[in-house]
Amino acid sequence: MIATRFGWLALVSTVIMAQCFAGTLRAQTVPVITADEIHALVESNRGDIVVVNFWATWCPPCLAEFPDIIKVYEEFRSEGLKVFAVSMNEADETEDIEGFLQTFEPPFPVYRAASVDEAFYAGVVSPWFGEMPITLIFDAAGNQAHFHRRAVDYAGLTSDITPLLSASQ
Amino acid sequence: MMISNKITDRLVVPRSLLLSAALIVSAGLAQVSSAQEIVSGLAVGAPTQSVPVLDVTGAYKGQRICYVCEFQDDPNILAFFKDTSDATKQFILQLNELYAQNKSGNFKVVATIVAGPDASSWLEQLSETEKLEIPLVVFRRGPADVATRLFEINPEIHNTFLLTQNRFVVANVAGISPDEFALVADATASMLASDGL
Repeated sequence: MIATRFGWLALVSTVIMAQCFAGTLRAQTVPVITADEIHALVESNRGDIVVVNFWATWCPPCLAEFPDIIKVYEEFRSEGLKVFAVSMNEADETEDIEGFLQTFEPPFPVYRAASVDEAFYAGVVSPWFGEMPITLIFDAAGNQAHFHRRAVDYAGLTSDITPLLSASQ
Repeated sequence: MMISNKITDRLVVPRSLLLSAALIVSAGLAQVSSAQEIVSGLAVGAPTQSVPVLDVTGAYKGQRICYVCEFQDDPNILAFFKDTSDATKQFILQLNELYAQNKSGNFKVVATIVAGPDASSWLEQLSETEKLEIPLVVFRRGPADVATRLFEINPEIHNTFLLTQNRFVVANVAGISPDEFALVADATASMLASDGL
């Protein structure tokens, strides 16, 4: 009887530990990125057209525009388009981010902002007051070509990106 | 009673077309009301940041949602109430009426209880009883929520109405009584009249 109880206890403990470990692994699947690292990311992709989209799981227009961003990426990735998405969710919202990623399955890298404050906004681009969604588009030379302060769509993104891609060929 | 339409020092230099539009609207509103000291809420010309609240009765009921994001550039009222009360109820009914009168455009309204989730059942009952169209929400963490700081809400002031357009505050009305709601309605009319400038 006692052995059985210990057996169950061990099993339950193992399951709980496994769940905790899995949760930790899930959390680690969304790397954190600073404003400086975003600039470094753009710099390291010189020669390509780079789109950096800032979103949050609680931002309805962010969710609405995301499928179009994926569609544009899928269409132009072979021509030199890179997309990076940065979640502006707080650190305790990792599960929400995971749910978002499971829903949309973005084919490009996704990060979580290292901080959600004025310093991060100012470090990324000026003027940015923390409104969302925000999308930055950089040309092949790494210069900021477009700064969208509202939701983007397929047509708008395509018209932004196509000439930049043509110029970079 | 406090209403403010003055441009603050922080926005002396226009930083974008959006800001320019906000300044134009602000200038228009300044003609219909006098500038006074702000007692609660962001100053005219200040941008509104994206921040989630807990939706109690709106389209995203039960979820954390950012209505500032949802409204994007549309003219809107972000109303904040210290807690639930008869006065808060009167204001919410007046806001709902104002929304009903202007919803044919892209005008939006959201009413927020700063006190937090404890107000949820009161809001649900009010929305159901009065068949309200506007979403009622709460600060997730009550007065300690980051939204209190971001919107510069004074927790001692019973009500704060921020009229915003293109994500900038174009009028700030705070600390009024329900029979002074015309201040909000008039400022709204000015904002909507200038929409699209």
